[in-house]
Amino acid sequence: MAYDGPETRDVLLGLKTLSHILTVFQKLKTTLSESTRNRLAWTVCALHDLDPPPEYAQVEGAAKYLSYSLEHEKEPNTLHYLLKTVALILQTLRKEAIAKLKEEGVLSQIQNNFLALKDGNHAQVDEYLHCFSYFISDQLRVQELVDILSEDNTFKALAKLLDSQNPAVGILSHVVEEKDEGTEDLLKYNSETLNLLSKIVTGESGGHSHYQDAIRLIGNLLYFGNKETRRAVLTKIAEKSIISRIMKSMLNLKDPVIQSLLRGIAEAAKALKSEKSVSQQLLVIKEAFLDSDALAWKYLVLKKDPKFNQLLDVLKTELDIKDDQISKGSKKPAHKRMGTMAQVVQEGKKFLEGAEFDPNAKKTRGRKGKAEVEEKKTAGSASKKKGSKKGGKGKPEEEKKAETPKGKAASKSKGKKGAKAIEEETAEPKFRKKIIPTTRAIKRTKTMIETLKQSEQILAGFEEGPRSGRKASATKQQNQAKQPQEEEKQQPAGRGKRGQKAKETVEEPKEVPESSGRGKRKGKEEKKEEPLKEEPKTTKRTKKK
Amino acid sequence: MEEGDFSKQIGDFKKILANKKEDYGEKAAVIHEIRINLCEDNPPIKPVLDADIIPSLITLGKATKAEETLIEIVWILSNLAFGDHEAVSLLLKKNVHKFLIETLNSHQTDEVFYNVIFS
Repeated sequence: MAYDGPETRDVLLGLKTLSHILTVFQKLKTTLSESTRNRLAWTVCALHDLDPPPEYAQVEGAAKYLSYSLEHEKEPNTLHYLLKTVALILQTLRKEAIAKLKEEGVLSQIQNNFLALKDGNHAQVDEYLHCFSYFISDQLRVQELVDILSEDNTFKALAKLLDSQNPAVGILSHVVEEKDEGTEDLLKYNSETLNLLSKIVTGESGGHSHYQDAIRLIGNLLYFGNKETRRAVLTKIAEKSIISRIMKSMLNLKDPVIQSLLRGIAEAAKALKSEKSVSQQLLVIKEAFLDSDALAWKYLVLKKDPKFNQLLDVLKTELDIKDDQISKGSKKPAHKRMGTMAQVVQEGKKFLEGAEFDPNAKKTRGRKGKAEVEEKKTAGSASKKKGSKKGGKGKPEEEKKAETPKGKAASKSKGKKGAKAIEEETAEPKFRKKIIPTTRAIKRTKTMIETLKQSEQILAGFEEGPRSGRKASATKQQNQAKQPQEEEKQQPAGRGKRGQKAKETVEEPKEVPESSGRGKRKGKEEKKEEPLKEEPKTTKRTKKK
Repeated sequence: MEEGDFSKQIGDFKKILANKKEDYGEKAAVIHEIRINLCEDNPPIKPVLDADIIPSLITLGKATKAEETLIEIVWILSNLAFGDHEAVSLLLKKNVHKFLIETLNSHQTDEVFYNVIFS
């Protein structure tokens, strides 16, 4: 009933359903069967679920139940619901709720359970990491929760998980901001940290979901680390494949992630500027900022965020970046430069105008064919013979108009070099002035096409960020695919005819309609984490046959 | 059993459940029969709701001294709660939730507890 919608849930809570249930639980807790305990955990979870969350006063009593159950429960599926309930409570960001969880010992119990997990128990580790991801976030920084994660043993255990559990990256990226000497510890506890981060950034590991976490952690390691840490991280990210990928994805990073990264680079550059050992790395990073027409930099400026502007100013100083370098971008050849679509179109228009491009002439160009090329050649050689210094002054207008397309036709048939040769040979001085911009226009158009292709590639790379609709739908599909398996696992044993134990069957889960108010919680959770698992509404118990 | 057959049968069941003179044994058998039908792959939730037997189920649940019958009644109600929003609204309207809480407080056994929290 509680999963029918928040209104129904609140009606049930209004009748003090939870407190009645927990009162009975207190009396029966030592004798309850495993299936009943599992069902109870699911019920308590259901009474906390759905948006908007229930009034705190109506669910306050759950903390005591959670504490007891987390201490005594061993069944993984029941633990899943208990941890999910804790996550739902934390998700409300209510300080009184967090204080209550601490007071009842729920937080320390979760910590103890996590530390007691045996190596290799990945499924359980996942559950705890998922819960821990609600302990610390951009929205939630509460000392009680931070203390749990930054405590040496927990931190060490999380750091060790970096190799096998990518979700740990997200948690640690926040924790290092809070822990004294956290960054040194992180590298000390897991020497593979940097390799793992680079693998995530280059897409070799972890998929796209942990990409932003990895960037954030890199930024924080640079900012909070000591010289040694900074040097190691700087050397790692200065690898071309890493820094270029970071820059390309800048448009799709979350603001706090960008801030961490810029802050980290600025701070590390400031601290290590005088060291020769990293001067080359800093140069590579500087080039990366200016690469692609300094697109990433321009994007950050466009955000008009005072924090970004401040950091960019520091970066300018520390990396020795000049304003004109930003406006000009890299010194790469034109065909390798990239810009925004609008820039490309604008530049294209400008050049075509400069070239006095005549679209009608273009249309007829193809039809005129070889004969005109020959004619042009002849005209060209004739004019050359004349040797007129004043060029095409005396030429009739029609001839001038006709010659430009002819030149193009020639360039088409003979290739770039051939066309140029012909143009130079045949054009009179003034005419040459016109034909050269036209050739440039052709080159420019080709460059534009290449640039568009490259931009398309870049945009394809941006899919990995959180704003991509594709990613969201893919995640949803993955979750939908996961759900049947999970739900099948989650069903507790049912009751059969006249109290006999019966086998419980689970129907294929149906998609819960949004309009009915059932479904996943919305909000913060959707931004980065996978959605919380959900009980199917289609469950039914069957008789024993 | 076909849903059509059950739809016809449920009318008779309703009469039995509503008849104050009918003995508990007969009523318990009816309850059991309804439950068996709800165990099928496509449980006939709508015919049961349409038959308006919920008030009779609650009355019998409050009156019965046989815990097995009570458990079967709670079981039926909790399965009906797995229907759609309309079904849940109807259950709330008939005060099923209040009956369940009363039952929870009056019969504190593992099995009753399990069935009540299931709904």
